[in-house]
Amino acid sequence: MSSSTDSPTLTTETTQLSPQPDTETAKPTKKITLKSSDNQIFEVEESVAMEFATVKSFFEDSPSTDTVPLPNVTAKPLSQVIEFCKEQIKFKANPDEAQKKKYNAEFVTEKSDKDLVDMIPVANYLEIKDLLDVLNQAVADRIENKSVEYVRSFFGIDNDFTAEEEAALRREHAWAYEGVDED
Amino acid sequence: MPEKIPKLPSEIISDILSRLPVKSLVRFKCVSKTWCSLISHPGFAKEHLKRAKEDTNANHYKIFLSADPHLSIDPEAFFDADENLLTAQLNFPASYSDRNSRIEILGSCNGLVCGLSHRNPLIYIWNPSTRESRELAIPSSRELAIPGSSEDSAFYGFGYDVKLDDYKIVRGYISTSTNSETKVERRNFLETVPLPGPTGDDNIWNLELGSV
Repeated sequence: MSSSTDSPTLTTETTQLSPQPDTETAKPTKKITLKSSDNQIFEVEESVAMEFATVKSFFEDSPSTDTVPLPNVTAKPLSQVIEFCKEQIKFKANPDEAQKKKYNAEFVTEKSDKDLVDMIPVANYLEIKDLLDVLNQAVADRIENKSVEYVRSFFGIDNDFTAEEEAALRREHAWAYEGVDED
Repeated sequence: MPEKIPKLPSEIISDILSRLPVKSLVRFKCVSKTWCSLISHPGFAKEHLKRAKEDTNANHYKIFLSADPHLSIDPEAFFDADENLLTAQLNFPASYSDRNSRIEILGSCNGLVCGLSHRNPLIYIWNPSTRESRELAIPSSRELAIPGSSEDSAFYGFGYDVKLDDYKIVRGYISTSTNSETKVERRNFLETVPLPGPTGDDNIWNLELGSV
């Protein structure tokens, strides 16, 4: 659970001979500090933080703050949400719908069910509408062809129907239980 | 053991479910009582319809190909792997499936089909996506006391009333009077047939069919 996932990897000697211009230092941007509920510190560019409607209004109310506490958000989903928003900023600067679609699809495909669902309350709390849309659609896609039992365990839902009630529902809509994926 | 997943608030669950096709929703009524009442709620049906209409990738227009037997473009799969148009034979609920009874399609709206069974006689509203239906008795035309009208001359229309936020069936009559040698036909839109309760009451009355 590290916030320094962006640290550059060691480069070979040949590439070190002709160093790339460091865009980060060449164009200094205002940083905003976010603090997760488990006390991890995230330094993000202002433009990224302003993607979070909740953070944005926090700054509008108290502009002199240097650290925004996020008491409902743990570090892991927060780091993933930041990663997503950084990319969205790039697409805002250079709109490319096809690339954006591709990135959004890959972003959710590589996530575990738990990572995906863990991010939903974070996106909801921070009011990142685009991300919430992507996440909710991804969850819908994952459960669409699944069995009732699979969905119960996916969301941790207890079955509160009696055996008779459940059997009656299944009988009534037998066609909807055909062609379901294996769990 | 899969990792424990946090409980999501109900508005999130509702948003996720509104993205699912009807078949999944009908199946997931069985997940829990909370899910069953959420999926059955008229507000959810409206949300689902709204999303389906916004989805530019979805095919909103499905066509009845034949009324004897009733065939439709398959609502679940429009084309097969070889790009052949898939059709599905639609089974009417038992009470309408009387082979000898002619069923006339009166109209369709937001995926609901309204039909008239001549033998019983009976009007039904049917949702081919959920395969659920409601039937309503036709009020006798005698109560209406329209001169020169009879049930045989009645005609119907079916649609959605934005003001009422519900569906409506309209019945009119053709009254024929003979003046010297000219036969005059008058069409009177006189009344609406009352529908049983809000149509969405305990069914998903909407779905991906824009018009059937």
